[in-house]
Amino acid sequence: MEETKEQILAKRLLAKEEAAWKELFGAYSGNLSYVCSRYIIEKDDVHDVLQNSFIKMFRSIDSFQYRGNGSLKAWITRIVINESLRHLKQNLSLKTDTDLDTIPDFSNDDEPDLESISKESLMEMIRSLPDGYRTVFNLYVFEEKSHKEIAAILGIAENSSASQFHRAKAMLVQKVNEHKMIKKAHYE
Amino acid sequence: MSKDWLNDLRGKMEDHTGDVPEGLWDDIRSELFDEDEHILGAAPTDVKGQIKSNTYPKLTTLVYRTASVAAVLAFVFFGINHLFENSIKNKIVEKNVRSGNSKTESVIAQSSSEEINNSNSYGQDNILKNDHISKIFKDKLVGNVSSETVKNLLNGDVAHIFNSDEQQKSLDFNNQNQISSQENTVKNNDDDFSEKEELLAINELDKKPDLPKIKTNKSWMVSVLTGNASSGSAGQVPGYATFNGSNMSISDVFHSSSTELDPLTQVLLANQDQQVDAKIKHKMPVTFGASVYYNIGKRWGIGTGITYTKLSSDLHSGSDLNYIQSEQTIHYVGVPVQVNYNVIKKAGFAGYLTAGTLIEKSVSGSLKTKYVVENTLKDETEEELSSKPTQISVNAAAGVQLNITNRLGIYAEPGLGYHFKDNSTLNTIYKEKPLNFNLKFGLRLTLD
Repeated sequence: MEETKEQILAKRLLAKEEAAWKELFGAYSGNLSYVCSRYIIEKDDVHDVLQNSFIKMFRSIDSFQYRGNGSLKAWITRIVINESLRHLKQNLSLKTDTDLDTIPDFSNDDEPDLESISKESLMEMIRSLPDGYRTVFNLYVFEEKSHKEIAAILGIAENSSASQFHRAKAMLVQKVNEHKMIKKAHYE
Repeated sequence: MSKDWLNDLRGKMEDHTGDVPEGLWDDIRSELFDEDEHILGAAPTDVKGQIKSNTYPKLTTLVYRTASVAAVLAFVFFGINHLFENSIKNKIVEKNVRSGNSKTESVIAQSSSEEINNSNSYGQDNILKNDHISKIFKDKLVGNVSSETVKNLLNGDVAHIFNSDEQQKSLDFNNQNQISSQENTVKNNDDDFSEKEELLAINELDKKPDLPKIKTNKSWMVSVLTGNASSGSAGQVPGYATFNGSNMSISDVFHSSSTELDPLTQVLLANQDQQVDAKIKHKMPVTFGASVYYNIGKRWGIGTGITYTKLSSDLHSGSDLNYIQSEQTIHYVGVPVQVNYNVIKKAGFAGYLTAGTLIEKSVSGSLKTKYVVENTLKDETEEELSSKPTQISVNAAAGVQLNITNRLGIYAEPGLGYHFKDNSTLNTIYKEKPLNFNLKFGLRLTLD
């Protein structure tokens, strides 16, 4: 069976070939930057977390196992997320986040239509969520973790994860709707 | 409640890309491939801890630690400084006291050697003594007006040699007035000279913060500064001169009048019909240093250490065949405190800005004087410089470093230094030209 491109790259990475690492960086750094900045807001911090992530990849590449196409990307993404979470845990307390009282409790379950909204705008909205909400939301939606898993990862109570997610989702819906309103007003 | 829109969100964003932070690859590359051994040597299980210590060290602790090291060094430094000041003050070695042989001048010779013995502490207060001595000198001479040798020496020759046009007063009586005018002239010369003398190129020396080192941390650096290039300087004044100005006006003039065997007298006599100049040539300062340096974050770092600077200057007074040759050597020990900012950091190359202060203390200084007549060494004296100034300077420089290997690099730093006034009488270039350019370069060794 012929080796896939990704497999070949993985082997070269294992050999610590500088060109291979540059290739990896070139291919995935854009996506990883996006993943990282979902969690981390400060530019400098994103830089640091990504740098540490690559160093960690470099040092632990021998533990990577190829399991089909996309497994390399999944592996490096996981590392970036872990590094991001560790950074968050060290730099802020997820428990004492924005006081819950100031967030209106929506029961708005309307499904917002995301079609007309650009990725950049969505990204801005996600990034504007309070740290704790954003982290839980990211893990739940993008990393598809359960509240139980999230609670374990972040060291918070399971129901705290659920309620933070709920509020995050509500805030995001509100932002999406506001965005549409503004856009609409703009056109009228 | 449906999660569909969230799934849509995930799907939509899956291949989104963000702006890659600027310079990220360069940083990663320099981290991974410039310090290969470092990384490969580390146990993979250690990764977390190492990354941690690298990026988010307890900065405050480190800053305090570094600061306290600097403080301790500074205290030690000033302690030594103080001791030197007390013990060496006024300790001038005058090996060259000689007594006159000529009978006709025995009175003068006596008085002069007495005077010399009593005035061992001259150095900074020479001028006062000068007046005193000249009075005595005059008194003694009054009774010896007839001395032929004194006449020869003082009547014209010496005054002529000293270029004493300005201050020469109209002379009535020969010896008495001659002597006093000679005295004036000498002083004049010295004053004159002391200004030019400031050309002395003492070169500040800073240490350069340098290499990365240290086991777990790799933020510490140890550097050895091996060279310091700065233009030497030279100055020329008419007549004779000394490094320490007033010294000549006392002991040397005395000698000149005490006996014709005195080497200075011989030089003066031999040159009486020639134009004489005093030339000062400052040799290029030599500096060595060692420093410790700590990185604060990726771009900033502070460092301290210790430096040694040797300054030497040559003074040549007289003509080609008959001259007085003096060599002044001053040794400085200094403690620098530097802050560095890395502008560029790439494999094999780094560019940075640095600024800091350097406190230097002169720990010893000497002045060797040779008297040469007809190309023959007649006499030699050596004295220690009593002045031990503390020199404070601030500096700023831009530096580049090229790595020869992973561990060894060469750097060069053109920069500017400003030297504050010290309170010594020692004339250095710092006083005349406190702001000067310098170029430092050295080797930087990276330790794990």
